[in-house]
Amino acid sequence: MSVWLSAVVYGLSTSAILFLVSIALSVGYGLMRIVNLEAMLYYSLGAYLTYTLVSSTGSMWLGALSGVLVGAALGFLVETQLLRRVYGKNMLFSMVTTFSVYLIGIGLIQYIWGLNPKPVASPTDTMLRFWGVAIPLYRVMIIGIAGITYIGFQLFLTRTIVGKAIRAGIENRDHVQSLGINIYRIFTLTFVLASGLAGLGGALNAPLIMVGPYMGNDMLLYAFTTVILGGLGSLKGTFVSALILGQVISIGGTIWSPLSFVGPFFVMFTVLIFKPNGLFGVKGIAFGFDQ
Amino acid sequence: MEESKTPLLRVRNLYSGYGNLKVLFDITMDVYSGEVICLVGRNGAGKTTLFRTLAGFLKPFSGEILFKQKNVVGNFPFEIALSGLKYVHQDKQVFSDLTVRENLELASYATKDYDWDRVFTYLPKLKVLLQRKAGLLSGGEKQMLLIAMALLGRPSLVLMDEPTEGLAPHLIQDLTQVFKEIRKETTLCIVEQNLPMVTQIADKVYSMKEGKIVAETSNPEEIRALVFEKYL
Amino acid sequence: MTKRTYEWILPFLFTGGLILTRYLFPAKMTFITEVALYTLYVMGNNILFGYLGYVSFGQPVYLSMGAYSAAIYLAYLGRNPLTAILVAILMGILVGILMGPVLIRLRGSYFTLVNAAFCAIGLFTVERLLIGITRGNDGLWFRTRMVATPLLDIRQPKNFFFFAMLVLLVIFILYRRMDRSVLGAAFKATQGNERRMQFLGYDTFKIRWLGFVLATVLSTLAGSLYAINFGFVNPNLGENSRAAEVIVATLLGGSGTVYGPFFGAITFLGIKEIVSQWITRWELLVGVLTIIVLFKFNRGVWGTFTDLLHRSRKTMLMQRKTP
Repeated sequence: MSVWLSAVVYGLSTSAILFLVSIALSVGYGLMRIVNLEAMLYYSLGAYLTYTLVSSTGSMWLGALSGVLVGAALGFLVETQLLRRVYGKNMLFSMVTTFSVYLIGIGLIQYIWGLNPKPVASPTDTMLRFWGVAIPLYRVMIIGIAGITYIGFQLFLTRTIVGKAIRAGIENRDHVQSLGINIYRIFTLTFVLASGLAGLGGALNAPLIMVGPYMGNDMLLYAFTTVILGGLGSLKGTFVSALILGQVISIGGTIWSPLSFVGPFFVMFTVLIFKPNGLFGVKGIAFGFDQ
Repeated sequence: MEESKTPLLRVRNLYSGYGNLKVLFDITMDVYSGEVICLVGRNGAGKTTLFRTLAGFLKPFSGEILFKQKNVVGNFPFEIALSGLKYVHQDKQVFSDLTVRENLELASYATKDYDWDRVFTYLPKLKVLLQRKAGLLSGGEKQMLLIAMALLGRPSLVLMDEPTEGLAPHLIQDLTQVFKEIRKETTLCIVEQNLPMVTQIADKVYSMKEGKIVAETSNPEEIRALVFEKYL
Repeated sequence: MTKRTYEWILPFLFTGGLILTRYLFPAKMTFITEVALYTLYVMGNNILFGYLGYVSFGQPVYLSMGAYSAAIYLAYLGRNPLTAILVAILMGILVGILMGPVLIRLRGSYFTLVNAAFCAIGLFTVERLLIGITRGNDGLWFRTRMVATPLLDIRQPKNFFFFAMLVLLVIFILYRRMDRSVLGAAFKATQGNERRMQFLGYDTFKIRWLGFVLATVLSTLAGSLYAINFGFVNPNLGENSRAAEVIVATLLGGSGTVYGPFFGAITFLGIKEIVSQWITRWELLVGVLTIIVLFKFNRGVWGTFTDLLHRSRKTMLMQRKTP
């Protein structure tokens, strides 16, 4: 029993990280019709900045904050300078471009921080007790932060005019423009937000893993799996699928350890065979070459 | 007589298309303030391509488009919309995930025109539908909503792509009345397949075929003849 | 010289050029061998990327599959490297036929991403799952188990070089034929306007499937040659992070052309050779290079060259007409 309860909580914290990082992919696809691979760079940078700030100031939260800010700032730079040129072009342009940015980022990380993985101390070692099961407080905090982010993002999308414009843009970018709304400003804002969240995801994950230059590679695969399983372009889909995959990784890994790695892919393959657009995917926008 | 006035929209020798595919050839047309222009022609004649080019979604290969005597070629679609040239797309796609109110809010947010009452005088039906999800509206109601959204910001010219497509005859009649009212406020340019409507409201008709304008007339008798020619 | 003969000569010219370079710079033989093998690999990706318009972030898995099927055959079952190559080719056909319908059905980014996941699973399989057979990260060694092949003993690097050249020449000729045939046109037409192809009565699904099989076979062939050349394999070959390299090489050479992959391989490996003297990990370089090529040089080396040739031929004709 105790094994399963802690597995569920670990799974939820994995879901939390997956969700935060995957938003960038999901929204990038849904709104801008680009495959936003360099979010993994902001994820990695978030973790590295946390490492640096924890070792210099001891404050994990300062690290998370700088992760968010740097992610957002870089996202702004990349979107306005580079991605503007690939909007409306074939999907492969954005894929190859953003992947290149990611590679450049990995190269820079190696120069700054070196090749060796870095450990990051957890901000709190407190254990909570639920029915006699010890659960690290930090994991619960991560779940809380992701939950708040989801609710905040939903409120932003449903209550603010810019959020409504984003939802409208996911449905039809051209019509939004025809109203006279500067869709590019909306793109930039969304991109900056999503990049910041990816940075936050990296920062929060830093104490749970070893921070290494290739940490983005694994996360890239999982984030993809999350977004594809949920359906590209659907925030709700991303949320639900992050919840599912977190449990697949955690509970699956408890049953048989290799499942924690391959389980998500099998779930994704199985779902894709029956639903090629994912769980909540919108038909039509799921296909890459629909321009 | 009309030569003395400057046209609201002036198109000269316009060539346009998608990628390498040329669709429009040497389009020349004038739209004057207060007019209702109808574009007729078979599917694939290039009417939608023309509208998409005018609205800024397609970049023309060559030719000029002057709106209010300003060159708009190369402007972003949203800039063109803000300058007073609104484009109502073909497929009656409202933002189905949003309510009618939210759809209108978006249009107002862009144009800073919150005078919904003015719009409701033309389209009173919308007033009672404000809370409804736009995706649940009927075809006619969706078209009304799109027209309302286009009218916010007091545009000088509204391009409408097949507004009556797929609507029941009595709705088309309603819409014709709406257009007759709207024309007091704005100039209209409509791609239209519906013969009675064209003969009722059009001041001028352009007939398109294979990417070219093949006929143009402002004479009511000729409009009738032209439209018949297309259908028979 | 007519256009036809000029085109026939190119495969011989290019392989001949490589052989000549090997004698001019004997120290660079390993490098030139790698160019030939890498060309095959890039050619496979070029069918997907250049002809069919699919981006795959999982090409290393097919390379690794070919390498491991050859290696496992040589380490446990047989001793003849030529049979091992055959095994790898058959493996490629089999995987292409079985995986094709699943992958080809997914369009655009789904194809890319699922391939990436597939690559991760492949890496996991050889690194951890089948560790008893593949020896994981220690690598699978079989050099001493190989027997001499008749005519040309390809266990010797010197002889392997010629063998690689021969394979390259044959594939060049076949690849050129594919490009000029209905098949090459059908690939490109399927990318350009699938609906129209369907109206014309083509089964576009089968066309794409066939393209996928060809791409896979070229990758597994290249993989098996890599394995035999080194005498061992390790999981590095199939690493996800290397998926971008083959795309860069394809872009560099000129995607969708017959000889683009060859020039892409030379340029990419050449730059890597030079730069690796200063830096060991060169993700930075690959990234910068791709962005430059994509935005400023998207016709690639061979594409730009043929463009120039085309233009100069045109001006020559013009000059002849107006003396």
